[in-house]
Amino acid sequence: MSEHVIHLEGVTKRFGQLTAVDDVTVDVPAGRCFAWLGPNGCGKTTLIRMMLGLARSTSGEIEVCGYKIPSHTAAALAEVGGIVEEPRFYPYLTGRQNLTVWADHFGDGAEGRIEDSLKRVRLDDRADEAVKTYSLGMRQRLGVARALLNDPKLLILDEPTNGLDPAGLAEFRELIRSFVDEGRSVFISSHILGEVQKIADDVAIIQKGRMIAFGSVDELVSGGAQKVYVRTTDLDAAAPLLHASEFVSAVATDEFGGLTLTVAQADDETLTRTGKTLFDAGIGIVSLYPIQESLEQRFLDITGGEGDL
Amino acid sequence: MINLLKAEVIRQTGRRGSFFGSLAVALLISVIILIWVLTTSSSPSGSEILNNSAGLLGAVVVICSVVIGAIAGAYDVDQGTMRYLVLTGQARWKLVAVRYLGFFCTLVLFSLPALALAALIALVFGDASTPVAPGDPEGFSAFWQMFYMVWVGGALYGLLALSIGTFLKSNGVAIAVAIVLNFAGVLAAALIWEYVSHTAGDLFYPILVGAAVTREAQTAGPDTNASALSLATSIGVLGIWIVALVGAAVARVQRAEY
Repeated sequence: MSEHVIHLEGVTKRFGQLTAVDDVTVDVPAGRCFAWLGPNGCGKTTLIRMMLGLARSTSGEIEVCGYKIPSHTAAALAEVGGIVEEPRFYPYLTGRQNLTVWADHFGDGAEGRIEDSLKRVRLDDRADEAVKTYSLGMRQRLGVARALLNDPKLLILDEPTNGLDPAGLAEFRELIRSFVDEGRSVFISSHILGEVQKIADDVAIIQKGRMIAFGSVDELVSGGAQKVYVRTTDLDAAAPLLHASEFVSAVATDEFGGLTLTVAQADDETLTRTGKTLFDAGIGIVSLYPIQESLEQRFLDITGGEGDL
Repeated sequence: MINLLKAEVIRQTGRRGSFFGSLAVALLISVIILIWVLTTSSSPSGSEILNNSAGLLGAVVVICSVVIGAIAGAYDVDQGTMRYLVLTGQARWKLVAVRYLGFFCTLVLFSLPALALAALIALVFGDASTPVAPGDPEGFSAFWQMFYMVWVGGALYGLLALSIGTFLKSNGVAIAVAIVLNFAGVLAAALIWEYVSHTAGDLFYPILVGAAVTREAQTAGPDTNASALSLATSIGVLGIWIVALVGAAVARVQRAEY
């Protein structure tokens, strides 16, 4: 396998006048968890459907696990497990019967992986109940079990955390990380920023079908505005003093008497200079710390606030 | 392919409403035949019982086949499972082909108990002067004819319904359209026979299925002895219909985006 598990070049999908995916070019690194992040309706699922050969691209090149799509879709799918939009099953069959049906389609030893897959997603004790009795979270987990039947190198999971409760989310994060730890590549799409920040190594931000940012989660977050929060014993004196300081570019006051300073770099040196400036002026410091921008704030910065999730 | 067929039969027979409903309705018909045999004063022969069973069961099995076939065609798109079948990497034409094969298996499975009961009734209660048993030419023929008529009629109407279902995205709509088209087909054939061309009317699917089931040339017109086509031609044209229906279903699935 190449070092990129997915290669997209100028991929575009149009539905009449509507451009759902617009000229997307990206290489998804192998052996990591990659998140495709964007609001609902931004083209995430359409892109996944094209990558899996479920839909045709209008233009552009798609390569999955080293195989071109759509000319070598079957070869690519032999190395991929996926959930698209939501996991769907035969509700009148049990979880185990459902997996048997799909294992019969996968062939190549898939039937022998059913029990392991069920245990992996902790559904082995409910596997003999009809799927129609399952909660959405259980169906999500069964969807992952199905995706594991062909022992895939790449898992493509579309909005996999939908419908999961907090405990389920934590469990799911562990599951995803375990896939990466054992050498699989994971591609997830999501509109839940907090989850992406916790799960993913790399992230691409998509808005109105276009990819507008791409990098590791740390790079993206650290690329945002640098801020320091300070609360003092004398707000009225501190605000103009800090505003006049050369290392502070902007000062904002909050309702609790705190100041948010926009600085070039929210590092130890800046914190020290802030403390010294206030100390030299005889102003007491109640609290002083750098503000870590979240992926959500960064997302809003990048999308200009238009990419509401 | 055997594994795919096994999975398809599990899916089709697992839809309890349509499968067990059809099985129960067919069995009910056999029970009605039993009641008729026990209560009639005419002492029907074994062949008579089998012929009546073929007619009644044939009609019921056709309706059940249309329902099961339409659902088999539309279910995976309706439920969203089709994309996951495609994601297994199996060739799409194979996914369609096993639907048809699976349907034929399901047809046999849901109708066999009723047919077996009807045969048993004929064997046990048929007039002793015309026993139904291997070696008795008339009874033996009626015996096989019952299976032939019920299964061929069910298979051909189910095949049409399954093909229609493949083009639709909803089970309910597929069932409704398949039933309407099956019955409207007879009416349309009669109208075309009357107002356009006798030959064109006789080329309609239900007329050709009638010829295949009865093994006699059929016509859409009022004069049943005036078919425009010979039996061999009817069977040949029916073959073209079947290839066209299955081909259209395969083409549809090959091109569809899921």
